[in-house]
Amino acid sequence: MSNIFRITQNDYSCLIEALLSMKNVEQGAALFAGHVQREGKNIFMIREVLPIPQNDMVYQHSTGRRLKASAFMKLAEKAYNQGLSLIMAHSHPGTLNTFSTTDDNNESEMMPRLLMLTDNSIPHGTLVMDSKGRMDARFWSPGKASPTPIDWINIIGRPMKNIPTTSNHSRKSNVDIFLYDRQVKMFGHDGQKLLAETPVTIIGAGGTGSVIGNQLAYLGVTNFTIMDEDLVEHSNLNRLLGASPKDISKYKADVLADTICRINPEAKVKVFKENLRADNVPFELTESQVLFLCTDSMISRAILNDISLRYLIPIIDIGVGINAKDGEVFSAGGKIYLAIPGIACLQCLKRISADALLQEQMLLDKRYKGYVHGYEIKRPSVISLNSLIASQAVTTFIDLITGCLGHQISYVKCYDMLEGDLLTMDIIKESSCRYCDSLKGMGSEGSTSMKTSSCR
Amino acid sequence: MSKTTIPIFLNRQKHDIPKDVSYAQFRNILEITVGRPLYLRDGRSFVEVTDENFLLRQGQHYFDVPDWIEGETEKSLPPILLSDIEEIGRIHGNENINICSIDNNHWEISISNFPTLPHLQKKFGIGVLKIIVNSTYPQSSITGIQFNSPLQNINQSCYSCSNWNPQRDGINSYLCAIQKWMEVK
Repeated sequence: MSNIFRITQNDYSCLIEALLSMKNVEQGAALFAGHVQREGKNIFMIREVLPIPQNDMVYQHSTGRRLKASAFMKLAEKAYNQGLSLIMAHSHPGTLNTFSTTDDNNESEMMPRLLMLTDNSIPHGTLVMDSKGRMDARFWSPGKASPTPIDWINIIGRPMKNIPTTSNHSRKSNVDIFLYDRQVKMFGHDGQKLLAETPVTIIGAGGTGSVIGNQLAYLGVTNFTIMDEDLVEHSNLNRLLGASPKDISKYKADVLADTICRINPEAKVKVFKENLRADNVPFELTESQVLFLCTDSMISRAILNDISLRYLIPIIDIGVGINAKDGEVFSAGGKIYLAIPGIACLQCLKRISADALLQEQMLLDKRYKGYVHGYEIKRPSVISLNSLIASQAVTTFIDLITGCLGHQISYVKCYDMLEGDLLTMDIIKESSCRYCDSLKGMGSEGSTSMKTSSCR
Repeated sequence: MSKTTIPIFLNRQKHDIPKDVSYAQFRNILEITVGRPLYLRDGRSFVEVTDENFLLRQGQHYFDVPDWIEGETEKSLPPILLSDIEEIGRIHGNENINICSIDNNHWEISISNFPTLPHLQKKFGIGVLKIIVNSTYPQSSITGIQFNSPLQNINQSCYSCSNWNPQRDGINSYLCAIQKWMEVK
């Protein structure tokens, strides 16, 4: 079981500034976070870091600090009104890298009060950081007399970081250095370990999704969630990596899961044989640290962008297209978008077109109402192009997790098949994005509900 | 006190309270720690209860909320210093008082909006007064002040504490002396 605090790189930098900017003085910050939980697993998505000003303190010195009740009440009121968890963070300027007896005593009195003030509806937490940046964290849930430790702090940026808390003594196992020796030479041992520990979701197990699943399994990724409601058809076998004629009429998600487990018997794969829907988000998807969107659908893109922002999970979005008729190719290529919460979302990257979204939605409605019969027009698709774009997406993933490809990162890559060019594009991001601002770290507040999976 | 009682909630616990009690009596009946603020839920906000706005109604939800205290070690402010700070907090407003350690042996206490005497405000204005105490306080006297105002800065060990008497003097008496000293100046 893992309990996680998830925070964007920018907010993490703000937190360090708020807690460690003054030497020999304990400092504090209030964090506001969305929360999601199931079966003892809890994820807190930090939405805002609010440094606590000195004016709000009764005193603040090297070994302790006292926040005025009036200031604490303002923080509690804000959390209550926004439906968010309040996480009280403070520093220990000395060497104590976990909670002190003073902290324990304070929380035993204050956290039940905080839960009461917020109607016992949401858990609240605390975090402590020592002068070297080592962190410990925990949370208090309604109805529980003692706190539950947080195991990991996920930092969402490039590279992604999974920092164990100082009280987490059940670190994950080492990787098979013989099997991955050639990769370890590139990513380093830590990079390989990060790849193995990163849970991923693949939405769409078709032409690009199957290639991505295969490559991730070979890379040593061990924790997969796959979503796809489609069955394998005879006409899919030209590009569905790992599928054979005996798989016809099976679920694509099951076929990909089988292939992944064959490549990497250590892998755990959860399968959802349905399409992504805004009102029914699997918990496993929110547990993922990277979402691969391989459906090339504007509706999926909009829904996943919402999820990415709410739960602070980066998206790698893949689109492939060929415009051809009777053996003549007019244009062909693909795009890879990397959207990292706190940096840019798919809306900021102008990947979501309102017109295309509306058209797709109208077509879907007409099909649902029976005005349009039959399936959508089958567009050209070849494995070589799919694989090339999927490989680029996996390379983006490797860089996102390990940061091994240097300081520059491309958020948008475009491949022109006719020219053979792979272009990278800078982010053209508007200074303020209403999606990023309003949805960041909100969790399911005002939106989605959870569901369960079939697991292998 | 009336024998008629009405139900209210303190920290979600139901209590029956005589309906015509004063705020002081109310706190006393509920055994609320002296100096600890009390809040009344008003919709989705919380209002600090005072003598002035106290109005008992059936079904009200009250919460008493202490300060949030955290610290790396058990070593904290000396109790006598903390008690003196609470005293000046009551006089000048807790929100105007701040304490910060300078090193392991000295604390700097800031009082925002420190009022100078009305007729001196043209000269000094209203500013932030900072005083420094050491870990042997109150056996040793306060060592100096700094006063920052929009009109004038004073930064010196100014007020001689040659007559400091630890049995008699404290931060509050020192602040009163500072005000008198400003008047003389």
